Amino acid sequence: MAEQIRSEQILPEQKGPERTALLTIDKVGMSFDLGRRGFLGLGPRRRVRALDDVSLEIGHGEILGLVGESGSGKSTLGRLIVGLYRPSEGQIRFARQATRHEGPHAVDLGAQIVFQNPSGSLNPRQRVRDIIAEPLIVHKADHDIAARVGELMRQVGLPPDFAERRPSEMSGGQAQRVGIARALALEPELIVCDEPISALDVSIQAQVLNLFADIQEQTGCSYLFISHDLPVVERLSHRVAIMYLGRIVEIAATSELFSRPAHPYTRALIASAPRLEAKKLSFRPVEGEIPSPIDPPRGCHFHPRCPLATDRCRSERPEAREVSPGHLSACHLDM
Amino acid sequence: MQQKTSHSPEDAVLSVEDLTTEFATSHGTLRAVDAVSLQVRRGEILGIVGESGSGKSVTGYSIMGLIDRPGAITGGRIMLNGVDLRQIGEEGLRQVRGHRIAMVFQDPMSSLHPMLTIGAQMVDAALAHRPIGRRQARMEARDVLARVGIPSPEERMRSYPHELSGGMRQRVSIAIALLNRPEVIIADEPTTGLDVTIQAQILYEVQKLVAETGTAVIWITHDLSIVAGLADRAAVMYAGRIVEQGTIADVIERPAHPYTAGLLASVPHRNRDMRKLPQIPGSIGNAHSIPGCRFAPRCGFVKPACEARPAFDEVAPGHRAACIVAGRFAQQLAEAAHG
Repeated sequence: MAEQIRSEQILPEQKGPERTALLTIDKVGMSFDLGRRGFLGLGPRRRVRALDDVSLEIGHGEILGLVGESGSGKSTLGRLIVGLYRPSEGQIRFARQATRHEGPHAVDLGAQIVFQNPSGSLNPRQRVRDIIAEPLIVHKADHDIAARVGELMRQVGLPPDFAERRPSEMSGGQAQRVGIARALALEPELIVCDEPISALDVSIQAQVLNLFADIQEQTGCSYLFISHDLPVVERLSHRVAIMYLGRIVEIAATSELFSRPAHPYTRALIASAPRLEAKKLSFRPVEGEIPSPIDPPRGCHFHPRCPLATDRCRSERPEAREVSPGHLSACHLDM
Repeated sequence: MQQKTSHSPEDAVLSVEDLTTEFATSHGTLRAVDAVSLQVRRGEILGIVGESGSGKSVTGYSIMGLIDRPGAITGGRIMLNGVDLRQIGEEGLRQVRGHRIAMVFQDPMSSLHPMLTIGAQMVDAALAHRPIGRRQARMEARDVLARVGIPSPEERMRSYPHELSGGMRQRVSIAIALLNRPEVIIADEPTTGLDVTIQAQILYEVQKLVAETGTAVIWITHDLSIVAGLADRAAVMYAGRIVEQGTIADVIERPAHPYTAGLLASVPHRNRDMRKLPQIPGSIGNAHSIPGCRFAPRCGFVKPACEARPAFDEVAPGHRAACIVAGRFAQQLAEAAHG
């Protein structure tokens, strides 16, 4: 085969073994205060409930894909996990070896984050060398910092002479590699990847996705891979969770979720995702807008757009039910 | 769907021949669009696919006559039903734009007037081009809003752009483009910022509208999967040039250019077991300054002859590729693209 199109080795099936939980998210809720509206701000206090009773586990070495559209709360969940916000309700617990990362920064050290916009998440006035070294300095890591930075740059495929560059002197793909190196600096057990490739060109996306797969193989760390791109998530993840307006509506092993989606929203999402294999569009897409998370619909959040909705869906919140072992769906209907 | 194989410029609504657009930069002249030729027929959707810097958007802006200094169209013809848009002057273009050829932009907020209601700007757009009354214009605006799937259009006409969601705003932009029943609509990444379920709704409406109205559409996107599901034909651009053009089946199933094959391979597919994706090495870099094949530095099939600019020849009826090996490695390229 031509050298240009490198086929990588085939990895074991995505299901993976039974894993012990690295991170447990237990009935987490998150509300943001939007302040008051109206004349002199005397109107009613408005709140967005970005996360509503979310429970989830991420296993050691697991890649969990988290899929949702605008307002689903997927980024809020990622930020809670790395400690950028504190949850309004519920708990986020790391299971860790007692020797590793103790102290007040425990949560921040256990998980790191890679952001969507590579250039926006790097300080434009710093050089690559300093960007990658910063977490090592802040957390007083006892590494030889220069050597560790060199090692990290090799790991993410950046040539050594990039150490002196600034973010503006790099392409989007290169800047994202710097963001990944920074996230790897403290050897996190979990990396939250918040839409890490959606700002990149298609041919560069494949390069960065492969880098994520390499890193996971080398370090055995876990990923929470947040994306709206179903084919990408399907390719990379062991399990996939689908969110809609602050709630997880379905979660299952990747092949199970894509071959037997149980929730009507998951089905609509899968049908809506453009695929190369799709010839002319041949389906009728799910109707309606995504409602505002400020005032979400009662009962099942998806009911106004759901073709199967019943009276029960309009009034009663569906609890997550196991449709097969390890496959949960929050829907009243028997699919 | 009827198969379209051969394309003579005569039956095309819009025929672009050797279009060249250059920008003066501090590093010299950048040829952003380099001798691009394409045709689109009535009722046909042509997808232009390319990554950043491919020149796909500049091609769209050039056709609309929207290139400003330091850029200029320096060569070629833009024939709209037999009339060269480069010869009709700025006033002539004003008559044509928004009337016979319309554009939908990626960010609807930047193309809608923030301080006018949807209805007011639609009525203006209709009255600017046609001798009809205000009442007639309002009626037509309401009808076309309903056609693009906007619920309660009467009410929406009283809304300001900021009161609508992103998906609704983009529907309004499409409605405005359709308002004067143009022969051609050029859509530049119109669904890129939208959620997938909303994008699917818009793609669905666009296909329906094209079938109903016969408007020709040029759909510019970076997403091959969208083109596969939406368009009749595709043109793939790289560093200012079209490297491959053909029907969707030609380009997606039988790619003839190594760049197209590489792009297809880097899109995650269902029917491939690898967790890692094949990737095209390197990046576009300053490919615009390469006189020969601009993809050569990233190409696995590169030969000494690639130092000369490859001809854009037919590999099959209606299927062209700008590559000296096009057609000879068809089997390997198809395997590379689809595993």
